[in-house]
This record gives sequence, structure tokens and C-alpha cells, in this order.
Amino acid sequence: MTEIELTPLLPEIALLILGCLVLMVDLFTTDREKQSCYLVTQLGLIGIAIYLATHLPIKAFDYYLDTFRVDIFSQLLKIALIIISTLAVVYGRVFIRGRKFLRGEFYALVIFAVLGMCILVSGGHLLTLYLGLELLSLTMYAMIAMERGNSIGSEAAVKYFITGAIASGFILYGISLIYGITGQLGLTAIAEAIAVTEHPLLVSFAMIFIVAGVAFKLGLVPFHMWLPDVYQGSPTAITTFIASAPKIAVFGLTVRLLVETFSDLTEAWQPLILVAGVLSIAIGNLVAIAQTDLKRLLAYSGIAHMGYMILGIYAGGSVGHSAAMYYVITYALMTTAGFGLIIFLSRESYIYETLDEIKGLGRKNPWYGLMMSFVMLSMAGIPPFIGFWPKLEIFRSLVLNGYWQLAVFAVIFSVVGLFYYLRVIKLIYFDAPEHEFQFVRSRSIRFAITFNCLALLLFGLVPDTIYQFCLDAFT
Amino acid sequence: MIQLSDYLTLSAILFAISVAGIIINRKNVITLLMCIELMLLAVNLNFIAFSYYLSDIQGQIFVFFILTVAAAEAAIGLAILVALFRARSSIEVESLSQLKG
Repeated sequence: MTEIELTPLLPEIALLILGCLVLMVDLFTTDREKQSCYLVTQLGLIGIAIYLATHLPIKAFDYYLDTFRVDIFSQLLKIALIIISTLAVVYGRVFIRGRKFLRGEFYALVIFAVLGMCILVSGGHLLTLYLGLELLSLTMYAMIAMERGNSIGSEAAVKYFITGAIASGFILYGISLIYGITGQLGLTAIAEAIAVTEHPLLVSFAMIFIVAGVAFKLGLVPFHMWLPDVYQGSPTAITTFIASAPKIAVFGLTVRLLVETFSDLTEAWQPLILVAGVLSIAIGNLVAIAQTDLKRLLAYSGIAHMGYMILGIYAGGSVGHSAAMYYVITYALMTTAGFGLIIFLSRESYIYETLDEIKGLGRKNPWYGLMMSFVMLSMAGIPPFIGFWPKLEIFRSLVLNGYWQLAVFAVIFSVVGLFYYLRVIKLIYFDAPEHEFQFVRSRSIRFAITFNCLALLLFGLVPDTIYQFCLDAFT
Repeated sequence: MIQLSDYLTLSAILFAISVAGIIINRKNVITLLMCIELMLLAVNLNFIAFSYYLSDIQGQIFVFFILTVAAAEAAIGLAILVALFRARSSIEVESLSQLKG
């Protein structure tokens, strides 16, 4: 009998046990708010992140018949997405208090989604990638429809479910063709088989399906229609979660498939993501100008951000890839802060969602007005904040690889983007408040918001900290 | 003798029907769920045909996982539909228009 080495899988096993544990704790606590579930979730996630951070692998290795790949890239992404999820849970707890949610199940679903994301970024085999992606998607469908009696939430869930299922179907169809052409399912084996294949055209055909599916999941134009509706319709606690950490995980999937597996077909997939990236930047930034709903505005800005990120993968090389990784991690940090603020700007039964409703926030409440402007400035990419550096790295990688026209295009649309971010700042400082603001009373969210927004500034002052890790992941 | 290409053509046709069904269908959300199932089954057919002609077992194992995931997906999809019906008393595709802009 051969012994099975379980150490590389330890964080995932711990997540699985944690998810079941939360369900059990949920069953036996009488507390309505399920504080103990929250505590178990947070302690467990932080513990796993600390374990991952202290056990970074020195070199990449494939385990379990090449189905599970552990390298610096996957472990760093796991740490990032667990930290972001922890923040999203802090915000989420405040939001679901007093609303019709099943509290324990919320935490359990978050943990299972994190488990799916961890499997996704570690997948070394198309089956593992598919199962990780589905675990992530299925938990997210359930989470969006979770609030009882929320008809907009169920509409958003149906839309997300249909588009997500189509995306999975496309990816699967592509996978089945790849399997038929190469006879392999392991990523390394496929890469080797593609290098010597006699049917490069067929492989490209299969790859188009996979790229389309991944673009669906990332929300790139022309597959972005679902994203604003889902972000707006979901309960804000869920939007905070689905807008942040899953982006990091799907970025991991993109790198695993396009960069590592289809490296011999770079010429075939580059034009596809070029078109998707350019259109996302243009449409995301232009349509965001017309938005009056804060959540929709952040959704369109998210489309534009994913466009910038994919241009980093387009530029290629370790510079471009690490710039894209840097971009997606900082985007997740910024977007949790943005949606966290929307959660903070809400009362028991009401959310200040439209731009008109946050007029004069900065006058009534200078500190949180300042935090809101931090988020907006960071998303726009104004220098001292963290949002500036990954944009700069993306532009630099484009110029280094000779795509200076693209860099100019991206810079021009950054300026267009500046318009709607600055308009929010104008509204909160220079317009007279129309009503009194009442916020959720919770010390933890005030602390978390302040911490999250100040992190945008502090990491911006020492940009090398995160970037160095991203460079390590691709060397 | 049925050739591999026959299976592939059939599965491509099924896949196309399911995509067309999702795009054209303007009536009922249940039909969308059926189209999604059909899409996954088309993929399964592809996998099994390849697996047989390549004499490789991996494809058939993949199909087991797809079937399991498809069952879970149908369960969640129907649960969401029940939630939608409770909130709206309708599962018409056209009633899904509160979110726009």
C-alpha cells in the first residue's frame, strides 16, 4: 500500500473541515446572530492564511497524479483571497444583521466558496480546475438568492445562474475538444502535446471556447451583460464578496490555462484577449459615466479594471503577468473597501445606493467622506494610493513589449475614468446634504473600513511590498 | 459502423441547439434550465466518444464528475426558481427586467 502525502492539501482539508464545523456550530447555538459561527469562520480563515504564509513552497511541484499544483503563485493567490474574504465577512456580518438571512449558512457558504477558489488556483488538471470553478460558482448562486423575500436578489441570482452555467458549458466544451485532440487532461501533459500537435487549428478552435468561458467569468466585454445587474441586485454583503475574491481566483485560472497550458498558442489567444481588454476598458469607463447607482458604477468600473488586468496578460512575459497579478490583488482590496463603504452607509432597512443620496456625506461626516474619496482616488489611479502602481506596471509592461499605442489608449481611458470617480468626490464634498445620515452602529465595521481604506494609502506609499511577491510568483 | 465524427457532429448539434435555446427562448426560465442540462449532456457525449476512440478511461471519469455537478447545478437552479416564484409569482423570462440601466 502506498502512502498518500497529505501535507500539500492541508489548507484545503482544513477549509473543508472548517465549513462543516461552522454548520455544526450553527446547529447547536441558540444565539440568533450566530456570533460563534462568525468567530469560528474568522479564526479558521486567519489561521489557514497564517499557515500558508509560513509554509511558502520554494519551487513548484505537482501532487496526486499531477492534479494538484502547489507553487508560489498558487499559495500567494490563496493568501490574498483568504485575506480579502475575511474582510468581506467582517462587512457581511454587519449587513446580514437584522435582515432575512440564514446567518450560519452565510458563513459556511463563504468558506466553501473559498475552498473552491483555493482548488481553482491550485488546479494542475482540467478536472480539478473544473471542480474548483463549479464549487465557487454554485456557492455564489446560492449566496445571491439567499435573502428571503428579496425579489431583486432572486432575479440577480437567475441571471447569474444562467450566464454562469453557459460559461461553464463553454469551458467544458472546449475542454472536451482539447481532450479529444491531445488525449490528455493534465495541464503539463496538454502543453507538451500541443507543442507537437498536428492539428493546431483544432486546438485553437477548442481554445476559443475556453477563452470565451473565462471572459464570461471575468466579466470582460462582450460577455459583461450580467455583471452590472448581478452586482446591483445582490444583497450588498454578497456583492462585496463576489466582486473581490473570485476575481483573484479566476485570474489564477486564466494564468493556468492561457499562460501555462496554451503557451504555444500565444499568437492565437492574444488577439482574443486584446479585443476583450480594449473593449472592456472603453465600454466600462464610458458607460460608468452614465450611472446613477453607486453599485452599478462600481460594477462598470470593475469591467474596466478587468480590461486593464487582461492587457497585462496580453503584454506577456514575467513583467506583464506579475503586473496583472498585482493589479487583480489591489483591485480586490479596493473593491472590498468600496462595497464595504456602501454597507456602512446603510440602515436596518435602507441602503444609500444612488449618487444623489450620498450628496454632502463629506460635510456631515468628514472622516467617512475622506475614506470614500480614498477609495475613489485609488480606483482612479491617483499617485499616492495603491491603485496607481499596478496601472503604472501594466503601462510599463505594454511599453516594454512594444505595444505603446495600447499604453496610450489605456492612459486616455484612465483619464475618462477619472471623470466619474471625481464626480463622486465632488458630490460628497461640494454638494449640500439633502438629509441626515444614519449609519449602522457597529464598531467592527468602522474599524474595518478605516483599516481597509488606510491600507490603500499605506500600501501605496510602499508599493514594493505586494509587487515583490507578485514578481516572485513568476520567476 | 458509427464513426467518431458522427458522435462529434451529434454533440455539436446538441450544443448548438442548447445555445440557440438559451438565446431565442423568451418565455420560461425552466426551458433555460433544460437547455443548460442539454449543453452539459452534449459535452458528456463528446467526452465518452473521445474516451472510447482513444481507449483512455480519463474521459469517462470526467463524465461522472460532470453528471454530479450537473445534478447539483439543477438543484440550485430550481431552488433559485422557487425563491423567484415566491417573490414574484411568475417565472416568465420577461418578468426578469427590474434590473437595468
